[in-house]
Amino acid sequence: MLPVTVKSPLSSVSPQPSIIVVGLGNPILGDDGVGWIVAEEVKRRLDETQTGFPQSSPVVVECCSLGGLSLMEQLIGYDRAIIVDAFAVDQPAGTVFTIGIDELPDYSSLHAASVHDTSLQNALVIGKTMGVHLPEEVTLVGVSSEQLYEFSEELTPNVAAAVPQAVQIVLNLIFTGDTK
Amino acid sequence: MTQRISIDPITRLEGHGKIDIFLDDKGDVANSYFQIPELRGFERFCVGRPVEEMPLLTNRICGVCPEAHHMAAAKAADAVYHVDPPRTAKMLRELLYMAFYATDHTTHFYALGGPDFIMGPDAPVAERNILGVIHKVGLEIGGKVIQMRKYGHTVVEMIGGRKVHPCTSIPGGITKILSEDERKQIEEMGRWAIDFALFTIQAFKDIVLANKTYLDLIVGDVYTHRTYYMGLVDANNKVNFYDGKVRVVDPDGKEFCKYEAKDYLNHIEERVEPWTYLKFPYLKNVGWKGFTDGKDSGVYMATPLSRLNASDGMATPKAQAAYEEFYATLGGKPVHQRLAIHWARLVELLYAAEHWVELATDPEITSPNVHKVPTEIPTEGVGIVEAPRGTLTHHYTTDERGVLTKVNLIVGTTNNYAPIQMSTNKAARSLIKGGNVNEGLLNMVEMAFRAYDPCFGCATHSLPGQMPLEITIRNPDGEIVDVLKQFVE
Repeated sequence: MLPVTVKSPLSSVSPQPSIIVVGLGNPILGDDGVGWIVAEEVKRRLDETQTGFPQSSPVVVECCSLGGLSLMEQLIGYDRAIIVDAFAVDQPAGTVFTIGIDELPDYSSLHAASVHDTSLQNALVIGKTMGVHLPEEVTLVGVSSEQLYEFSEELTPNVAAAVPQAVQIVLNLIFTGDTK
Repeated sequence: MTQRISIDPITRLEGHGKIDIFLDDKGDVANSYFQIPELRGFERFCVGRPVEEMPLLTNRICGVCPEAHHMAAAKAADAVYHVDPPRTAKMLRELLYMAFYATDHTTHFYALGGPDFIMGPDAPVAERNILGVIHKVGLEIGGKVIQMRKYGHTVVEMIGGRKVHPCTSIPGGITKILSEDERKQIEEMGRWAIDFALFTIQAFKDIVLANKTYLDLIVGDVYTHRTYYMGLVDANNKVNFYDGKVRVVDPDGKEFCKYEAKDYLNHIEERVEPWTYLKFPYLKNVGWKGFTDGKDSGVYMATPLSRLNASDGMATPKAQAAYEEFYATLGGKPVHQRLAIHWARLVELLYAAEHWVELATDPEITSPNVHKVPTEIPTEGVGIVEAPRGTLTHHYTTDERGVLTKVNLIVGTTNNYAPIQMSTNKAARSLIKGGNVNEGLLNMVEMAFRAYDPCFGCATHSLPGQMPLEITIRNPDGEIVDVLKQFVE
């Protein structure tokens, strides 16, 4: 029987793009912590399966509570970035969706920009203007919620129920570059 | 006759600033109400937790100055345990804090406040941001800003034990000793920061003060309020961000009171208004007279400008020279023009950099004596520091095990709720007359708001010129006559 090698579909692309997954949000602010929870689960699944990733191109998973310039600085050196964040949009709580950073129309990603700083879009342009290596592709995976302003370490039920779906979407993005 | 209309406090954050303006019969502004969203339930969240968690937990209240909350929490936890940390521990906390301050003030000036000035008042909205600044001042500026931030983050991580959210403080001191190698690096970064601060002040003088339109705006009346001013000062009444006593001066610049952290409730009271969840702190011993200026009104401000006004000077030489030039240019102390906050911030930037080097070159900074074990029963304590945005107060009460039973915080921006209200009100009044709304209203209001660099921005996502803002103007019957929006769907 021929040996079966599990290969990532990306392995046919050379060189391997380096990927960073960032869980954004505040873990003590209720549903605002969903980004961290999704990212932590993604990391657990990646560590578990170790599927098809050659040593030269690990996927890095970080959790942070940053926006604007600070967030941009976390992305330095990577080719692709996937950012998971809570969104305040007019959708039922727990709706998961994906959007490219350039398409972000309505400022509802709570951490991709900051009133003290600058938007992530602008920060990326600044970084690139300075000659810093930043991802060509930045995708946001959003989970909608309304409970973002009360301190709590728990997610509300609808948002908690959306975590597995968000995790799967992130993994799909990592392995196939698509949400499916 | 103006009808009574009730405004419900915003219950669902809509993600943008919201102002309701009521006109009188003549079409002039009768009243305005600026709603700022607030994070809720923090006290409830903390009760039942051990107090030593607070320097880690309060990091997360606000993503903007976790370092400030860490320091205030650390000092409050020390006070709860009635323990005085060793000198080296206090110096290391302060050194971390100076690096943070330098970074924060730099970012604010170049990315946020500065663009309002550097680009000129007539610059298109799309250019009034840090990218515009880079194109105007030169590409190398962007590189320097990034470098300053990198140095600041490095120092915070070296001393604080973690990026951005320090975790080193415990009751009685800190948990990480500084090595000589780290010390050398920190000193070198600090010396670079001093040069960068001097460069920034010069850029401000060359670009902003040399522009008559901006100078007029800074010294003009529309952004001027004569209020009390608050800031922390050391034993010589010089500005200090980490420790000292709280000093308040009156609108004429005379000292009104000076108190230790533990006595803050003898001086500050909070006013409740029905149209917002926020409370408005004011000086108890003057009294609440409404949202007005003057010596009889208990409204006070806490910002970089306030700190300079409340002090007798800066504790480092180059910053002291910058302080003197600041007051000489603006006509003496105290300065009441709110836009001067941006300049005051640069004086503080220079002090932070100089003090950074002072601390990094102190012979005891690498001492291993960084913790004193508490021996007394914990009870209650208050820690006050200056956050970049204003005086920050943490007040904890615990049981005999050190488990929290009560928490009260007054964050930097909270001190300024009443002044912010007054500034936006004044901007509105100057631009709405006889029912005619000047198109510049949104921009003027945003500039008023932005000078305070508030913590809980109405939107957590706004560039200068791109702050989501909705202004609703109503006639005396409460009917909407106009709605101005920017960047709101």
